[in-house]
Amino acid sequence: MPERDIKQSGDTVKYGIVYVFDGNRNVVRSYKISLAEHDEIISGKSRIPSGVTQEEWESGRASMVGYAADEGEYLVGLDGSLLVVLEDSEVDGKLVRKEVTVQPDAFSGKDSTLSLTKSVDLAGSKITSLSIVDGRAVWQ
Amino acid sequence: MAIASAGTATGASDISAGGQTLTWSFTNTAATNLMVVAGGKGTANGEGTISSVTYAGSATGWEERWEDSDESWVTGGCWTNVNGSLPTGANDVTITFANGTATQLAGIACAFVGDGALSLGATATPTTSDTGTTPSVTMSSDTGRLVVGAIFTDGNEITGRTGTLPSGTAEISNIGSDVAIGVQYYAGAASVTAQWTTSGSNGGVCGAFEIIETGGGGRTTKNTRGYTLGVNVGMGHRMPV
Repeated sequence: MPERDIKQSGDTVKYGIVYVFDGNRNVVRSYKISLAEHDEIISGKSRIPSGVTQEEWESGRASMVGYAADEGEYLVGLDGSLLVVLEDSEVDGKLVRKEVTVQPDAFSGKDSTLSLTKSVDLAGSKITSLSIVDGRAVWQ
Repeated sequence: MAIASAGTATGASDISAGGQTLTWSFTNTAATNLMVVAGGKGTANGEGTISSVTYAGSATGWEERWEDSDESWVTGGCWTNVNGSLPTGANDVTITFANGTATQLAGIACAFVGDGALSLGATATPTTSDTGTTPSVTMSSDTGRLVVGAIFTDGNEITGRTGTLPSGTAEISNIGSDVAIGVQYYAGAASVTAQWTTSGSNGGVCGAFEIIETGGGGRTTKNTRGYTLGVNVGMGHRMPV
């Protein structure tokens, strides 16, 4: 059963992800870029992300998103829920993310060795259970 | 009507968790236009905020027209720029989101041009929908004007609309297999209802505002009649929690 330490992410962007779509808005490739490159692009200094052709970018078939949470980090929602990024991996040129949202009432009155049953399905990768034990996320 | 659509471009994410900025390219063809960006994000756990919009790295002239959240799932909003000094050519649009944990992000940049200068009229109070599949927003306007409506919905797919799509790509459905965004416009009239049909029935938010042309055949005075803006139509339900 995989497990890892988790920590809270800040609210600022840490890296970018570039998405390139086909004509039907299906993602044909996606990949991470550095925070420095992300910041240069949104500042207007460097207009086209690396790995994207000018035609892809200017035709609207590509987008860039700045993300705050990296692997092993969680974000706290306004309602107190936790959005945990368990794992990022690349499959067939596309970034695949395993993540899970833990609702705030899941923690109330529970032991510190919390075990949750969740079912999320992201890009065919299903997480069927998640435990958080002393700050470590354990999932399968 | 001399106000016309002058192109659109869309941006969207796919995977989720922690998205804060969304950037895409939009080719602006006229320096004296009005640009609209309808941005939104799915928030699986609460209300978020669209905190800024830039074009070619500059925030100058951008103003929020409306923003709302259904307080459980999505936040949508619309920003405009009528400063008349936007750079032409292919440049990047960036929307920055704050608060909450963004899941799917999406945006549409649209330009409108006129024979005369364009300015902004009234803005409808946005409406939210948690279960309806025909979300809409209604506002008072007048002939010679243009009403622009935008929607961000968790209803997966936009399957219909009652207005006119701006030229280019003005709708995206199934973003992250989950949400959809769209812009449409109408000729101004005493009462205009911007309405969409969506495939699903989760949360959504939609809004609308007027564009007025000055000196090009449109009316030159702001509508000051006492119509109630933002009449909710068919949106009386809340999403189960």
